[in-house]
Amino acid sequence: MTDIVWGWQLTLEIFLVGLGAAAIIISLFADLIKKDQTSYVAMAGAYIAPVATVMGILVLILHLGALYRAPWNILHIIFEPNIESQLATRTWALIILTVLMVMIFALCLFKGSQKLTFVLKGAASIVAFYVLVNGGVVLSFSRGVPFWSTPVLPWILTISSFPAALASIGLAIPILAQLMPKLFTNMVEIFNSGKNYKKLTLDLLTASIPFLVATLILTFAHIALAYGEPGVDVMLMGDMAMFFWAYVVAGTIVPIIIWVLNRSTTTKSAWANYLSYLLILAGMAALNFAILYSPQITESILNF
Amino acid sequence: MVEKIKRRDFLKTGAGLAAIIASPIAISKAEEVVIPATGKPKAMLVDARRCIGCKSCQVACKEWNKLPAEKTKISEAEFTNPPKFSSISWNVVTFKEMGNYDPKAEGTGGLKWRAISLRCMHCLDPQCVSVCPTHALIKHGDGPVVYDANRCVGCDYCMMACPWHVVHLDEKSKLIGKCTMCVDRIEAGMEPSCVVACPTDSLQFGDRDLMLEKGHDSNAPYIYGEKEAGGTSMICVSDVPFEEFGLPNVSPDPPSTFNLNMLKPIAGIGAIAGIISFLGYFMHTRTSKISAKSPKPKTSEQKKTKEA
Repeated sequence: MTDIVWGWQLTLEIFLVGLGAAAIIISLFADLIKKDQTSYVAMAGAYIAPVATVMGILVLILHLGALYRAPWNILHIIFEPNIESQLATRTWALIILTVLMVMIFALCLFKGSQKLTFVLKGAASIVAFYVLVNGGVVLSFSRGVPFWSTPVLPWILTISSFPAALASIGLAIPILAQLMPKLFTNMVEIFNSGKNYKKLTLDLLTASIPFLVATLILTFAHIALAYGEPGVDVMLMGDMAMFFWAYVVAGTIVPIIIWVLNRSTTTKSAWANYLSYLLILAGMAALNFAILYSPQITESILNF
Repeated sequence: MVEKIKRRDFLKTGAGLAAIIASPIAISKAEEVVIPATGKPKAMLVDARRCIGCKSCQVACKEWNKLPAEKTKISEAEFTNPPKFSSISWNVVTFKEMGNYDPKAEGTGGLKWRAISLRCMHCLDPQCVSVCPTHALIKHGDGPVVYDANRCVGCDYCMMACPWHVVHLDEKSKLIGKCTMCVDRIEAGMEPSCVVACPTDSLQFGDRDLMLEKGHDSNAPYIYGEKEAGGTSMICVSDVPFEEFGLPNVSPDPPSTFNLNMLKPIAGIGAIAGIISFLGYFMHTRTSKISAKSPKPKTSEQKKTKEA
């Protein structure tokens, strides 16, 4: 294939929706742990999740050809779906997930029932997990692109969403505290707590390390399984090599080094953790781009 | 109805002209062949050994389907033109020059030309139909895979799912373009326009069972499309391997089997990852509890204070 069929819109959709879905699962786990400042993580996760998911859906809609030709056709995917299609089930799962996320968002913002919030988070997490895995399954079922047809791919996209979500939560706390102090009083409280806040930023980075390592292992497992496909060469040495190696070095190795150094020093640096978050976010986005683009910019095995 | 008559006239003129240019055999063929619409799955027999590369099929396809011309160029080292399928080129004759040139050898000096007329394979159980979220692509009872633009959302999943990369999007109209196997003609009891235009019987059309039988009886060493992707409506026969034409090796699994074979290891990896994560979490919490219970070693300063 030489034409990019699924371009930046699909890549961003998978990345943003994955980030949102992972954020709501992290929010649920933070509620379950109930330790130190996990309530802030739970809250930030609940705020980030719907924003990222809705952004992802909007970007996806921009990709749909029917939007420019016959927008009402999009309703067919909702009212008359082909249930055999992974895209149709994904659409329904995304609708349910968005509704649940918005409800959780509203409950957190207006300090609604904690029990109801927890129950909704549980339900949203189940749907979110499906959405996370489904992103990769959609790609795996693309029989015309053998590079994607490995059983590891859905798990790469699933697991890589967690460090991205944790990084977003880490970045969101000070942003929410600074930009909207009246709305997010709890965030201001944690942001102003100095030492505790530094510890929180490091804890978030610590939590993302196992996911970073797992993603790296799975990515190389995927490359091994897809070995021989032209997409592998493009990803490792071709046009997408810059994205791939940026993910490996800047998105994984550097944050791990920062984490090791920051853990061993007595004076924790929140700024170093912020840098790690940014690198993780950029790295995971780069990984998504490398995976989606590499098999599409290879010379076709077909002459036609 | 008026439009139908016009299209028929259009075909008669168009395909007839193309056939006249190609061979007189086609003229008689175009007039006499009318097949009964039985509702049985139909198929096309594509014999690469008989193809002379006249491109009558390409022209007839353009004419019947009212597809505009495409600015093309001769692809490198071969005469395939246009070089690949597009939303307005549904039928492509692929040329291949094979063998090593030997000036001492008689005739062509060891080289041989092969050409094959290719289009949508019209799989018996198509992957594009399976992945389409809105039933915009459907499998017709007679065999063709047909497209309904009124249901299409433009997700392009069909383009990624097709193992032969047959489906293409027209960037201007945002519509999918692919061979329909001339479903309108089949419904009217006629053969597809490309088959009618073929002057050498390289393209034949009929019940799939019959076409398959003919393919096997033709003693061709290579058959393609019988089992690929669970079977297709294009039964291709050749005396050279189909890889030479650039056709991919597609597993015989229909979409349901292919998808299931993909889902099983995905679930397996998930289960293993889940168990590892659970064990890791269990070990971590256990270690944390033990370290919390055991007294912390005192620092030298604390010891001095205690002594004092």
